[in-house]
Amino acid sequence: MGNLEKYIREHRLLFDSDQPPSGHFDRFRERLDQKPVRKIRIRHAIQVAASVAIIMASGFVVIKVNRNGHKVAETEIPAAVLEADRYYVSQADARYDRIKDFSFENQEEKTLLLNELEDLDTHHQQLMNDLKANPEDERVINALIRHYQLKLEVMDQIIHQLEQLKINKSKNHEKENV
Amino acid sequence: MQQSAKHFVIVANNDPSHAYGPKHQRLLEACRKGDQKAQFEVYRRYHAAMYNTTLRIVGDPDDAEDVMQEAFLKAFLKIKTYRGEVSFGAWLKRIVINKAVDFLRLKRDHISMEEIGEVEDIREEDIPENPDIKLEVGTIKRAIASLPEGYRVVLSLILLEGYDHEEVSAILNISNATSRTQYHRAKKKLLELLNKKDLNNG
Repeated sequence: MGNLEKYIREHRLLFDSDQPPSGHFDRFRERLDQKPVRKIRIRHAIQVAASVAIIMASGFVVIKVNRNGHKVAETEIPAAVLEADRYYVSQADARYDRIKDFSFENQEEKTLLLNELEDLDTHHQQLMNDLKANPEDERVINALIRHYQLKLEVMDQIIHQLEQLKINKSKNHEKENV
Repeated sequence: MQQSAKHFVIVANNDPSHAYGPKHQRLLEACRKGDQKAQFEVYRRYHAAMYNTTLRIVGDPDDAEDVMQEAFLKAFLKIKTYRGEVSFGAWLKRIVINKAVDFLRLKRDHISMEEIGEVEDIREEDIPENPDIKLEVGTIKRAIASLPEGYRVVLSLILLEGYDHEEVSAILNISNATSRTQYHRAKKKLLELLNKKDLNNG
């Protein structure tokens, strides 16, 4: 096997980093419903917290796997996973900055949302600790990748909703109570 | 020779860690009954991996979204035929790939596979690899995306999705020999591109 094949195999996870165009969830829901596109129902970014909880749940899966595995010895995390980690962290940071730049009517909501996003980093750290204990466990690696993907997805959704909110607001103030 | 590629199929399918538990079984059962919430949940869990696979084949983000979503709808229609012989992710991915290949066929009549007059004797050593070549994920992704369609499709199916030439020839409806030749040429072209400096900076 050549170097190229070897490199791709070792970095396979990083090749799935593209996200579908913004709004794809709504478009898929519409296709499932075969109904016209729903209006953006979320009035306050704080409601996004519900989706954020999903990411936290993905963390628990790993913790459980870890406890069942009874593996406590600390070992090295594979270099490819560390590289994937760095990549996703930089992607998430960029999104975090974008969210931070939006103006919120209610500063308290903004702080709460940003705090929730920061809380996810704790879960990320927990996942990395789990991985240290089980570096070869594909289930842990898959859960970690899933965690990254969900995190980016939720952040993209938040950005999408904040953008919609901004557009709606500038269009028509009366329609705010959709 | 392809055994090594097979090795990472599980990762490539990106089945979530809970994909094999009873909860996942219940989710699939709900999908079989046409439960839209369950279907949306399956989309939420699997769309990322499926989107990337589709994008590598069709090349355009909007087309990729459209094709991927259609593939999910098709999968829900035929989910009763899923018997669990392979992981759900692998089953779904095959539907996604077939849809993507169909899309290319409809768009251009046929996938532009180079017709070959003779079957070349292909060995790994035939392609000289520059040992100093700087391999990097972003560079490789861009280089693969810039390959001619026929090359891109065969190379993606083998190098990234982990299929062997037998499976690729069935998916693309080409001969085993064509699959091998296309792959060989695609890899050669890819290495040429990776040797070019401008791409590394792009």
